[in-house]
Amino acid sequence: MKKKLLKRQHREYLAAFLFLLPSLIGITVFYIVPYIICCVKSLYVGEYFVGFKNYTDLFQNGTFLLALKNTAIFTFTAIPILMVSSFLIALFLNSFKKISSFFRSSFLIPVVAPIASLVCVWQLIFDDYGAVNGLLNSLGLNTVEFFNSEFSMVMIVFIYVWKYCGFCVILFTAGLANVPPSLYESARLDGAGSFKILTKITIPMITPTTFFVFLMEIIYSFKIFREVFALFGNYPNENVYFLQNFINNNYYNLNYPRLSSASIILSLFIIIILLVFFIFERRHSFAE
Amino acid sequence: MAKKSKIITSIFICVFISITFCGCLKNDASANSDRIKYYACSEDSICDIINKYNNYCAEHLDKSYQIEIVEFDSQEDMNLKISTEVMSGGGPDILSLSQKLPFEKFAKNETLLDINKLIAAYDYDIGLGDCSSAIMNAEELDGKRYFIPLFYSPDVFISTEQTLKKYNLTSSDFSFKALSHELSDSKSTYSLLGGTDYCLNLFYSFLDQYIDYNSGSAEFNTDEFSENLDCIYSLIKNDSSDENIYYFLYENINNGASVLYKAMPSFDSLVRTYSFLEYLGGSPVLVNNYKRGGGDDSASVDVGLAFNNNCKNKDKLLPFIKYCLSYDLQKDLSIECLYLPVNRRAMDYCIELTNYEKDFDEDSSVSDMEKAVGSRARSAAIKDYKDIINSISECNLYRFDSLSETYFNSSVIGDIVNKYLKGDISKEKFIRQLTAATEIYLTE
Repeated sequence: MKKKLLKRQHREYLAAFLFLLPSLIGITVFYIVPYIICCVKSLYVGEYFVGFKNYTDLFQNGTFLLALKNTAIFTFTAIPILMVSSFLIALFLNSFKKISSFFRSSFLIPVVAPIASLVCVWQLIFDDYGAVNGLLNSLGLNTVEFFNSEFSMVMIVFIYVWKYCGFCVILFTAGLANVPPSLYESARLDGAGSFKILTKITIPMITPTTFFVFLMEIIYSFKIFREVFALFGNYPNENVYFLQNFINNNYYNLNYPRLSSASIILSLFIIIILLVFFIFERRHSFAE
Repeated sequence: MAKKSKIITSIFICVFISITFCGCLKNDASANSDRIKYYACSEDSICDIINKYNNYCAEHLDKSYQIEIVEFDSQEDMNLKISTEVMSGGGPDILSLSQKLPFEKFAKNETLLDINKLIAAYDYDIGLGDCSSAIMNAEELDGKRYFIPLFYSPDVFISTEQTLKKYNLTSSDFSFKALSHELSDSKSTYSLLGGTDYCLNLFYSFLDQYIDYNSGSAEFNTDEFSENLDCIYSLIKNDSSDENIYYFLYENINNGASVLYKAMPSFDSLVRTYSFLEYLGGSPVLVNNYKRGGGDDSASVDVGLAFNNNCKNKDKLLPFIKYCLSYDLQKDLSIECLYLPVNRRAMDYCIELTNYEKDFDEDSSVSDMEKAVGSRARSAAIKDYKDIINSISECNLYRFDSLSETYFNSSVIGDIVNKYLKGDISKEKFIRQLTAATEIYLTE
């Protein structure tokens, strides 16, 4: 009987493995192998093995450090703003008993709208003679050069938040809907206030959703390069020169050692952020 | 039964994927993998040379030395393919300097092959000794030779003493600063170089003098640059070229409506221009392109080659380079395309060949007067041009006519320059943006 059970288990493992095999091959061929090749190439200059010289050179390169700084500023500014704002909007929407499907789907319009058409709109809005500057001038304020000053970063953060806020709101709304109403009722019976309910019940209960939203935002934050590229081209001003610009330009310059080492650093940057958040989620999740 | 079908399905998917990947491998191993490759998006001079070389190989070498030309629909597709393939250890073996690629960066990161090293490795004479040392050595960086110039043009413009005198200038004391001053004082309409494209190229050649690609630095934040920028900007901004200028080109140069003219680099075309200007009563002269601090004479490569370091058949490149620098090819192509060859013997031949018997009045016969004008113009043109050629000490990588199309000028600073020349941004903003973009490009 036991033998039969084991045999059946083996067969199930085999079937599962075979079903996983196509995607495993795909991931191995298109992600794992190139990543390993990239790691190895980052230790070479041409045919010569140079160890970590490419990495040390990178950290002495002013342009790379500028790109790293800008990427860090964007990630640590845009993601918290997006998370907080989308969570607050989701909380607000959750207070309504029913949200029409049109309203819900309208949140996704910025995500699906083609970048090329949006770029034209943003150029009209943020141009020196655009809508925002028109408004600022009418209020007696000076014109802000959004395309060539430190405000470029503000503009990119705004575009990022605007574009992905709706999507995150939908995710948070779904997470909030899954919190059992009985928990709120019993908390209220125990005399808990709105703030206490929020911090002690809502936030811990939606930790898995928060983690997922964070993960998506990290991914989307690296996709913002498309917008930066469409607005500023290959060589944006120094305030919005990101790691992706550095990598992209080194691709055209055929500087493989620099490109591969920068890519490895960028991937480590993402892995570290996710790891920290993953550990945090494991420790503080009460959803179970 | 259901489980069996699932297993069969998954095996089928695996086999399908494996076959797909095998297909990829097969595709890469093309039949001509041992042949040298050149990528082109249109029939350029290098394609002409390759076609001639392939015929030469069929007669004198074996066919494995022939070069394969891979054609592309657009420059963008071609450059993307080159980037991707070079990254993966392949790519075309021969590159043309007319391709919109960042060659100075390629040289720096050793994507390009050092020809000196190759010559030493195979102990092969490519005929460098027969070529103009000033041009060939100008492309050598720290003993490494990444570029092979084939044809070049001195950085000079043609004008006449009468035109220069109109603006209180002489050819012996010519400066763009003085010209700018005089032109803005005269308040008359003028065409600086006979076309707006030429003006743009003049502007890019001006900017290029403040960039040092080897040390990775730019000097745009100096008073000198700011002052000279004003002068060049004013020259270009007040230019009122229209397309009709070329209908009466020689008349326009002669009467000063067009101040300077960039002729084709061959001796033949220079003699032709000189002859017509002399016939119209002018005294043709050559003036140098804008030179920072009035430095030495310079030239630019009109047709040049670079070679991919990933090349699998490096030994086959040397006979090709030798053929490109040979007397026969240099002579033939100079005559066909009005180029100035780097091969000294070919240049002497081209000088000998210049025809000074011009039928200026187009009455189907060359009169004695026309012969005398032609002869005088020929002597003057050859003397002036030879003086300039002999004093060349610098050579730029890209030809003057296509400066606005190089990778750096079009992709890195193109938008900034266009905005500035259109008057959309101030001078301060232009310098700031130019400095930032250039520094990023040079150091990334």
